[in-house]
Amino acid sequence: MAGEIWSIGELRDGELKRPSLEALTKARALADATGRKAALVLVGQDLEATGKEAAAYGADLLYLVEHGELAAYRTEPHAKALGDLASERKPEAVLLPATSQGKDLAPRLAARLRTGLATDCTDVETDASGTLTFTRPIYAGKALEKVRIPDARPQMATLRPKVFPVGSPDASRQPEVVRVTPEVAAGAVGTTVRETVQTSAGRIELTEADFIVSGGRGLKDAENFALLEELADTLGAAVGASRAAVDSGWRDHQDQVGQTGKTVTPSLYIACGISGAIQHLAGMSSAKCIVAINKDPEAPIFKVADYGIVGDLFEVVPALKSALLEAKS
Amino acid sequence: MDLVKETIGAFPTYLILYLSFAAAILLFARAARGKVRLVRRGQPEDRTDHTGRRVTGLFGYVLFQRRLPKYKIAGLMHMLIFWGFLVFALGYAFIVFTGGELQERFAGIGGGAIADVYSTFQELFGVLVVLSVVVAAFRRHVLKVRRLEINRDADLVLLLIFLIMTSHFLTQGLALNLGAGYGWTPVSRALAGLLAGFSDARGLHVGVWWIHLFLIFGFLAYLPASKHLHIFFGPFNVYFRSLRPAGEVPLIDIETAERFGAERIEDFTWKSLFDLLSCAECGRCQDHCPAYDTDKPLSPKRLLIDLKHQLFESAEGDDAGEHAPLAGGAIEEDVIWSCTTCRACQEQCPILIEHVEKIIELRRYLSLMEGRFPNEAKLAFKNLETNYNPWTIGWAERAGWAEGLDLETLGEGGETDVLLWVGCAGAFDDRNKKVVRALVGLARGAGVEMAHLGTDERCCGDPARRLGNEYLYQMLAQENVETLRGRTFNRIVTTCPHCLNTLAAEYPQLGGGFEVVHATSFLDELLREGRIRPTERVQAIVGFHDSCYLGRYNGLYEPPRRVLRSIPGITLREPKRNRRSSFCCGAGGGRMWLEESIGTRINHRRIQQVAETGPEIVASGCPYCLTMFEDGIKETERSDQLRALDVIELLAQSVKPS
Amino acid sequence: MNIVVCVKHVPDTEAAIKPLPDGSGVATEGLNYVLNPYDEFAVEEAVKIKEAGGDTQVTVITVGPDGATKSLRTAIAMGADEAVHLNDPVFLETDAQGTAVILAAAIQTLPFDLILCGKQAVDDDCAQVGPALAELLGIPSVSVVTQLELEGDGKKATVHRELEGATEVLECTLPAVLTTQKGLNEPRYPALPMIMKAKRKEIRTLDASALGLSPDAFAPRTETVEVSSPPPRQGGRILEGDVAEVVREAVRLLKEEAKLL
Repeated sequence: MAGEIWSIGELRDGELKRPSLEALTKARALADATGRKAALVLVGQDLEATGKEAAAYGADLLYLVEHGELAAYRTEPHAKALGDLASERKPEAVLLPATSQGKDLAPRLAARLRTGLATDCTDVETDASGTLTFTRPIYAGKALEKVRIPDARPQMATLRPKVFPVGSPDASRQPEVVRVTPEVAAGAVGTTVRETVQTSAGRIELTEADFIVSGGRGLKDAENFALLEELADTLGAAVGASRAAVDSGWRDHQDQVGQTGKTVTPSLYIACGISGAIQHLAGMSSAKCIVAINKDPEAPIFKVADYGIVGDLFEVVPALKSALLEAKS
Repeated sequence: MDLVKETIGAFPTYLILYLSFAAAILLFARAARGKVRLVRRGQPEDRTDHTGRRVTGLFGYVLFQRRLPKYKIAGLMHMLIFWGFLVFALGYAFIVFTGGELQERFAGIGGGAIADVYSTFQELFGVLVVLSVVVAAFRRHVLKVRRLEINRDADLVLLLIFLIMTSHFLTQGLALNLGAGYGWTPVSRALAGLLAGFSDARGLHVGVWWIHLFLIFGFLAYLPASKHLHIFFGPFNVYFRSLRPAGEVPLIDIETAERFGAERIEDFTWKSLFDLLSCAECGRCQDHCPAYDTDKPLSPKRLLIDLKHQLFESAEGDDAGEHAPLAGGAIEEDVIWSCTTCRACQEQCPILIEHVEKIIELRRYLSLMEGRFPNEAKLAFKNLETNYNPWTIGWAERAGWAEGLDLETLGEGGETDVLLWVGCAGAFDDRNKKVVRALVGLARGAGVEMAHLGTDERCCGDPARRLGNEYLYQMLAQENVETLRGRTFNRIVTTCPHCLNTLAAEYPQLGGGFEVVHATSFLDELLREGRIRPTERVQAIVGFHDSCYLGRYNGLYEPPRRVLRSIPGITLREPKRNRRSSFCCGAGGGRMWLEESIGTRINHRRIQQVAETGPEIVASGCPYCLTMFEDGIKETERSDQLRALDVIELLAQSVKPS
Repeated sequence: MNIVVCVKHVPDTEAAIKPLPDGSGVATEGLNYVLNPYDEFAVEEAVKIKEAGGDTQVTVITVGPDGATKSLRTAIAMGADEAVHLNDPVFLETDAQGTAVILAAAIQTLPFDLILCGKQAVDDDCAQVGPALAELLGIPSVSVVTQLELEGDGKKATVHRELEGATEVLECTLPAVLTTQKGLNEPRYPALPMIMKAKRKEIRTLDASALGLSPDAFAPRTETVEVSSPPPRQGGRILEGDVAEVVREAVRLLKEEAKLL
């Protein structure tokens, strides 16, 4: 019986996050292409309802690995439970979302299973037999490599969030539910979670933010940064500032991006009213995508921006916020 | 009648005289020797070369008080007091060594002419000195001139000089009443008139004369404890001055040196410590310091005084060893990092104290021994190490500025006439790329054969060296020297004065003796040869700013001005502080790469100064200055009134493309 | 306390990266190599623990080619005591999981109470070695650590770990593997006397046979089939026109082209 294509779901506050659905959708597609079954694997406690709802996105099988000790994610017990299950069921491939949890779990699981792992993949292709080719960025995206796992099984991969599409759920899907109750020795686990602290309602830390909205001299005043904060809220972004804004006292030095401030590597950097002097670029030029909003078409920032909007930021920024809210709904 | 001789002639009087003189001399010598001993704890340094030049300097700087005239009243005052001192010192020496007055000894010669002349000089200078001292006290206490502190030492010195002079006039007045006196002495005569009534004129004369003498001896004994010691140490300081190029910082032999930089006071060289003892605390250095002017904690004068105190303290408790490092202890770190190495302090100092080198040595200690410096510098250093430029830009992109220019890249073994040294700003900063490109255009038009090093060029190392990271500097410099030696060229032309300075003045330390010329000097030459013709009118009033490393460091004040004057339509309007007293843009000393968070902005201050005379354009010949001015104009909201341009760009505007 | 820090010698992040013409890998000619930036946090943390007192020894270890000694010396200049260089041409042909096997074999011969490594190497960006190493050694692991506090007796640690939009605080028994994230500390700039000393430090070098490892043990399980350049940045698309239209277009591009939303 051909090995299954598994996608490991990640639960947060009892909900299956979107990246898990992306992985499941991909598992479904690979299963279809190779005549195999796609499975959704969940580890935790009281998983049935959530599992069945998520399975609608393409699972033929639903593995529910349940135990009190597994309710909250911890690396070792989760890796052990999944490892044991995989050793037993011998899937062809195991996909995980490349979230912080997935990135933490996958390498440990791969080591346990003595198999190969391709991390942070942006594409997965398959041949008829099920040998997968993973595409992943290397050197911070300056190059791409295609990787295969020729012999070791299961073929493991983590998928970069927001890259793979989520299919439409099929409510009529009835997955085969497999319940697993692993043995988990309580004292044997080395890590205990004491607490989880949500990042303050204030702001996400600049150097770790994936999205940043940044303001410069064009903002003209401290109050006007409220516009950027609103845009940032819509995106779940951090707010940065150029040296000009910090020097003028509009923002704290903690928020400064640039040569003498912080170096940031977000996926998206929206520079508003920032001319793009070299000292600023030094701090954000490795952003994956740069959007510039400036009323001066000659501003150097447009040379490095992927998308440039020549216009008055006081018009553009609120409009952009509305457009984003529109797109969300 | 030699009243003096009479006064001291008899035993035991002359014994008292000589004993007290000996005592004064001994006290002076002991104290002075103690100070010199402190100085000798410093590191060795050879300042005995070029004796001829050193002696000649004494005439200019000491005898003719070369640096004083520009200070007008204060300068005149000091010159008068100094020359007055020389005049009187001659007379006192005579008394001490011959036991009689100079006038009396030469009374018979030339019909008493020498005696008359000398007495007249004494009278004249006596008056001038008294006036000067009164003016000095007035300036210090009433006008409260900023650089003059009010302290006991200063007041005591002025008082002593005043008393010595007035007691001199009193003795002269009394002597006249006793029938002695030469030359034209109106003041003494007037005093004589006032004192005519005294019965025991002779006794009074003797009394006042002894007071006068003891005042002098007392002053002599007091000298070592006073900043007035500068009269003794100053000339030596001038003699031992640095004859190296202004921009040359001493080389550290990294392989063999055990200590880097100045941790303790003894880590400075003996000459550096000698500076501290020579300082008269005049405060002119502080007056011209851009950091002090913008409320940074750095005062060059204060630094010298604080280091001097450390020197004295180190004498007590001697090898007690556990002295905390100077940097971060007795000398605040902010003081050390605030300096832009602009050299305005050194340019002003009348006795040629070397302030900047002390800052560099303290920075070397922090950078090399502790790895402790402003955070922004860390990134700049890392970038210099890995990508040979202070910005976080890959070294492979260094030649991007030349895109489309078809400028020859000189490989190993290559030959050319002029090697263009681009510098990091020219290579990576968009604004400055324009300046280098303009230069290439002008050179081409003049038919100059020119090539550049492409991606083989690395940062000259100036930021690293000025921030104290000598190790990183040497790594960069050694590579550059090797690269340059692998090519053949007649000379190097660069748009950046910092590169100019480092390549010309400092690379010879590491085996690189190249001829290096600043772009404005180069263009000046081409203009004079008629190879560049500025024909298009550029109507503008231009304030030319003398960049520190072009002007003060390398004496290049006129070539850029000549270039500007060659452009039809340009009117030069000098900022008040120009040439030697130009005011820094704030980016030197590696500060381009640091945050300026204390006080007000140096570049804002300079823009204000330049704007005062109402030019439309502020022109300079330095990429740092250009950057600082662009920022400064924007930040002080003068974008409508003022533009910042490089001299090269202005010339290029005037030259028709060929 | 014995701390082992795993480091990697990687090309500088500003280096111009180009694939080889045959797509078999990245052109390494002319690249400048440095100590992996994430590993700097690991080294710094180890040295800080050492400086906090107690009898602590920091050993830095790497799997890398001859040139990797440069990064080991950087770590020593920062304050590491000993360095181990796992140098064998065969080592360079394996993948992340194989590297973990090699490291595990070497580390097992050393005393260790804590193992630190950077969360990922900035060349391959795999982020696997840390947790895989822990699994092979049978000890706990916590990845992406932003704060670390040792309990007094050195048997436990309280760590902060970065999640999406939150920070998790965990207690971890030692020995354990912790992978370090930016923000954990400020890596020091080595003082020159330390740099000079590091130049002269002797580095222990071990190859496969010295570790008693047969090539099968660490054979790569993944193979690189092709290395290519990403599609060129559509760079500099200027959007002009009516504000409402422009922003809608921008949103569309961010969603569909940049795939960020």
